[in-house]
Amino acid sequence: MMLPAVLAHGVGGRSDLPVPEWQAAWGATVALVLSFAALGLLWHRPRLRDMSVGIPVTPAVAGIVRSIMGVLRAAVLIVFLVVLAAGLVGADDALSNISPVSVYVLFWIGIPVASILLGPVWRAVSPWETLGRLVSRPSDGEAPGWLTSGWAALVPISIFHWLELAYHDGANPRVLGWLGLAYTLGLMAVSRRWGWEEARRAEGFGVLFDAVASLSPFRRDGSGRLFVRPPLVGVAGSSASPVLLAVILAALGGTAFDGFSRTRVWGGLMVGRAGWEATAVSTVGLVWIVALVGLAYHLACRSGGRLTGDPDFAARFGASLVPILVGYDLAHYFSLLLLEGQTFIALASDPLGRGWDLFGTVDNAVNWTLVSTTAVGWVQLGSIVIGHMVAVVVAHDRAVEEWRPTIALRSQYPMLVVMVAYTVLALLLITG
Amino acid sequence: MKTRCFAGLLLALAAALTACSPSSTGVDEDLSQPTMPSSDMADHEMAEPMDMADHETPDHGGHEHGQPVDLTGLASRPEVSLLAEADGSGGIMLDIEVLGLELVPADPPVDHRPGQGHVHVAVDGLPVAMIADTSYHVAGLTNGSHAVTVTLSSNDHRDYHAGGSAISATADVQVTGGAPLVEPDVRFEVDVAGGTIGGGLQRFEASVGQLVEVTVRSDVADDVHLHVYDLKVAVHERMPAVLLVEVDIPGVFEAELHTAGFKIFELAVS
Repeated sequence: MMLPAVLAHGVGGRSDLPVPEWQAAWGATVALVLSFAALGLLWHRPRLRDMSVGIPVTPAVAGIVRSIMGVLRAAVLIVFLVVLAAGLVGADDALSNISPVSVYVLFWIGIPVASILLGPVWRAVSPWETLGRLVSRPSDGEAPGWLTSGWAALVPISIFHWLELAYHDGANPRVLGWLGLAYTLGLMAVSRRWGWEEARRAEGFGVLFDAVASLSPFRRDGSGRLFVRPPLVGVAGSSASPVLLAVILAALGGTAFDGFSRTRVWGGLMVGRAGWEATAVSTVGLVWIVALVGLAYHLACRSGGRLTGDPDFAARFGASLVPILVGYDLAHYFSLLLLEGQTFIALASDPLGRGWDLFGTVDNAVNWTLVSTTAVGWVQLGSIVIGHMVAVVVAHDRAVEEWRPTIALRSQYPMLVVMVAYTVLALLLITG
Repeated sequence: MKTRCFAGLLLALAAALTACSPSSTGVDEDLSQPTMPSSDMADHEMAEPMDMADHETPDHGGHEHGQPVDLTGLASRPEVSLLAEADGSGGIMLDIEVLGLELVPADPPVDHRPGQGHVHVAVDGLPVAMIADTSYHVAGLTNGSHAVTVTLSSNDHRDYHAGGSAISATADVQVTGGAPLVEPDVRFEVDVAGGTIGGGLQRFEASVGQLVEVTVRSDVADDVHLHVYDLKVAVHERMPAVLLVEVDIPGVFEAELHTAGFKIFELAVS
């Protein structure tokens, strides 16, 4: 029997201490005051879209970046194959197999963090991108609607969240291995049939990570040219398609459920439940929270649409949820990445759990006190509040871009309500 | 027990006399304090009763100290076997079976007679009793693993040997419900029964550097596992699991029943 709780649950061995209530209350107050100040005090003409374009880097820099990415792409492909192999044939034990920590920490948390800092890195190094291009053939016909609409992207995202947060054996290397293999083969088949450009729409992780990368100070345009711009403003220039909106809300709801499932309220509900019974209860909880988060946004947008007469209200402001999502993610997973992430160092030497010591790091012990709990608390608070502020500012900018100031102001009432609701929920979860 | 004080003054002398075997003051009762884990402590405790004995009662019987009685040549040698079980309240119940030896109480002192003898009981190498019964109760032990040894002894307290070693039996017993090994700073208790936790799921709070003891009772056999600190302690209906840990990593840690697979408490260290 594995230790399911160790890894399946956001891989958490050490959870963060609750942030003191006074600290969270301050965070909430700052967020609230600044939000309402933003209504009246911020600019009346759009500014962020121009800033989000940025300036192109020199060809020399672009060349260096290209060669670094080439090396990284090869490295990531190798790691991917090792992790996949470990999942399929490595030790059948979540703690001595490299796949759970790689999937749940390095990939699921590490790539978004890298995307915030460095831009669309997943697009550059993803093994599915590499392999997908390799097997890609020009489409010999019209791709089907489920693919072109982009809704297929929601499938891997949903399954992944369920696996991580609800399924009782989510850290089982075999489960990860077979699902990873199935996903890879599925993507390759689609790429072979309709070309990688189409297949990429079904690569949900890429869709999500690309959205996160819009916060970074780097971007690539359609032709692959690299631009530098101020950080955090990138989301200003983009609308969220219904698919992207669904992916963002699913991720937001998933992270909220992860926080909720660590509260004692939820813990009490799970006492005595194991196996599929635990899975069933968690699934209900996960779906319930995702639905709640989605419903809140839907109601806000319906009311905003009525106030402004804009049928595309939800899509127009969808991208402003990205900073909130990133704030949630950092708050919940920052310490996980720095602490549990260390287990990768030891496992890299013995990825299959066969008693190897490839790099002499097999005895590397996790330094559980690498970051102080105080520092973690401030990062949690800071990322939630900053995420909230960026969201407010971005939404404001989009509003004044579209409407004259009075309507723009009106459009922001429901947006503010839903954003404050998300932020207060996030703060409540880190005090639990 | 006034002699204990006297004997205590002669501890230095005792060191010189460690070759002596215990003499005949041994009675069917506990001779020692609750066993302590540290080995130097055990040495002192061991020396004490022997020393006391040798000075209280002049050496008798003329046997050679420490020379065992070798029974290797006998066609049917005496045998001893031991069943030992923790009583759940800091003690161990011993069920001893002796074959081929007539058990004779050692108090009052009797001379050596082939075919007669008694049983020496030791816990963690420290003598606790000399008995002529087949059942015995050791009390007042600290929590944790203890090795109980019963050795067949002659009337004059020499070990019976066969094949080069003492005729003895040893059992390792996990003692629970007794005094903690060291006094913890904070104690918590969890009762799991019928798939529920008495009082609901608790978050126990402790400060970095504290010694924390968590006693877990369960109506089904399982292992209690505390993550990150990586403690794993067996529990069953008659034996609670005692997790003793000096907490030095801040954060919130989950403990679960390993096989049942659900969380039974959280430990918040700040």
